[in-house]
Amino acid sequence: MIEIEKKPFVSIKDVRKNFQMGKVTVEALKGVTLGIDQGEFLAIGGASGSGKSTLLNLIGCLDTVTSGEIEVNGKSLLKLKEKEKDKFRVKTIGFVFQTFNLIPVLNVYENVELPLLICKDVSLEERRKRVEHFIEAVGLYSYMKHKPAELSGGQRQRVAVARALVTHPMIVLADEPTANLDSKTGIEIIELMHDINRKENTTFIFSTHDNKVMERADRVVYVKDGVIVSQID
Amino acid sequence: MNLFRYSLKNISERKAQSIVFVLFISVACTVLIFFNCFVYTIANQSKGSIKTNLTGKMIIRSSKDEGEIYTSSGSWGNIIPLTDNQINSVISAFNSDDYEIVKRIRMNMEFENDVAKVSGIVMSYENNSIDDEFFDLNSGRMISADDKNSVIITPEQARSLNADVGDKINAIYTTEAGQAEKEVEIIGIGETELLLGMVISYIDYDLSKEMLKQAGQGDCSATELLAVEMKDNISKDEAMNKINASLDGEHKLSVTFWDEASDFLIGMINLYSAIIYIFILLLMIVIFVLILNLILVSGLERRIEVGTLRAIGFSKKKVLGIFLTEYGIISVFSLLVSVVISFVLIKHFSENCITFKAPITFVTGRKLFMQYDLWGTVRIVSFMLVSILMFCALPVWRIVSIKPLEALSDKG
Repeated sequence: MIEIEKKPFVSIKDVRKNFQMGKVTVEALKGVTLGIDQGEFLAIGGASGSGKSTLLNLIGCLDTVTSGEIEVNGKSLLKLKEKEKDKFRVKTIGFVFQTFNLIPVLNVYENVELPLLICKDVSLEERRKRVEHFIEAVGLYSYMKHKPAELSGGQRQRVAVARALVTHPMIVLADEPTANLDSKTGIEIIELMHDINRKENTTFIFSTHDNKVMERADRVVYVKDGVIVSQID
Repeated sequence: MNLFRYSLKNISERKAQSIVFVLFISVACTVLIFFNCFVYTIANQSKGSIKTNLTGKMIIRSSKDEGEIYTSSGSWGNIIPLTDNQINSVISAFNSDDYEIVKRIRMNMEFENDVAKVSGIVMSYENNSIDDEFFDLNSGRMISADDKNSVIITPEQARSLNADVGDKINAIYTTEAGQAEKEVEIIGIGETELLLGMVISYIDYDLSKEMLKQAGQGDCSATELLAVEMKDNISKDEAMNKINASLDGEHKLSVTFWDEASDFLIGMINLYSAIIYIFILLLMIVIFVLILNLILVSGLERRIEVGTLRAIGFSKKKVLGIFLTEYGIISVFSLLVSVVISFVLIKHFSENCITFKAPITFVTGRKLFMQYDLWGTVRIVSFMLVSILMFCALPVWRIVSIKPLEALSDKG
């Protein structure tokens, strides 16, 4: 019997990323190769400056590789033009930021609704259903009319998670989602993300340097000085 | 929610910034509209004043009269009276329903008393019917049909002569035998407004006819005829042909329209208007540079928002659209506010005149009743709207062109 090699959902091959800091070239990633399966709940661990965020930014098309290749669902990100990258981010990726990055003038409902404003294929009724569904899923149904300034850090991050999920993305990229939260709230957020990961089968890739958070992941990939040093299931 | 509402939310929630923008644009635009209406009023009234007091809409005079009257090359001293035949030809040439022809005698004269001697242009109208629309009477009264040996002098002449209403002064004029004097009574002191300092006095019609007679001009009733009401859009050649067709054996008449008759004065008005418009242009450049700066600063404050929107998947065009919609709404609102404020201001100053003191009165007159320049306002508002959006587009494009990662790396 011939065994066909199954291609990972996210395939990262020998990716290098250099930054020019004046006359000095800083190597942020030095040949990273990694495969991530669909529905996986993956943590990228490592100290500050190890290259975790750079890796997430490359997967999310916020930055371009210096060399190497990244494929998502069989599609290479290298050849995408600016407009295609915008489309890719809307359809495929949901972002959760360390600093939440909610729009201060919009309330919870509107913040979650924001990515759907540019999804032409989602009807108004469908939009309303999705927004309410995810706000309920993150436990903020009674806070729908609240502005970000009226919420706690944990609640804000929940809104950010709902916003990341509302477009039904294939992957949610979360860059240090618990870094600005106390440890208890941080664990709650990770558990919420894990719960949604199981229910919606959405791939979650998040970076963290908190061991307690890493414990909740299906797999942990450790990055040090731009290279993957170990992987633990 | 849609993107338009998102823009509206940004405006309503960022109150301080929006108010600064609205204040800035509306004050700037109000100043522009007000200045424009100010220039419009002065230009309009100056032109009206020239028509009413100097030239009518069309001035008909002897073709022997050299040069254009009231221009820099005008025949100020060479006054040639019209004959009765010429006057009758003009009157019969035009339908009286469409044209009102007014007889006028114009001469140069000096006034003298024990204190001083002053000179200027002196005019008199048949029946002493001086049009007082742009006439500013400081004291005394206008000349009536029954007045004899009466004169209205200008305030400047009154100051030089140290004379007042009721005083007697000598009018010195030219006769066949040389210079002659006639005692006249000052019945009014006033001046025709907005003629850029042109000194014009008025004497009664009978006296001026008498003076022309003594000058050897016989029974002459006018040195020029003014068409003050004209309904036809008649050309200069048509008017001349009409008048001269019936003039056999006599020297012909010439016709000059008001704007060419007063090209010197019109040129001066245009010069003053141009100076004010240059000032307005400089003001606008300053305004637009400040707007540009304001938008850049406010855009930098919103880097994280731009980065977040771009990371979510908003294209540059969409983010640009959000920003431009915001500035578009603010601009339209501000411009409407400025139209309302300027309308109220100008309405106020159209009912309550602005009073000026010398030397600006040379251009503005002593009292100025503002007029609203509707089309000028429409032009300013349209120009401002297009310019603001164009000036906004540049800094906004710079803001939205920031790479999402760069914008997100700013921790606020």
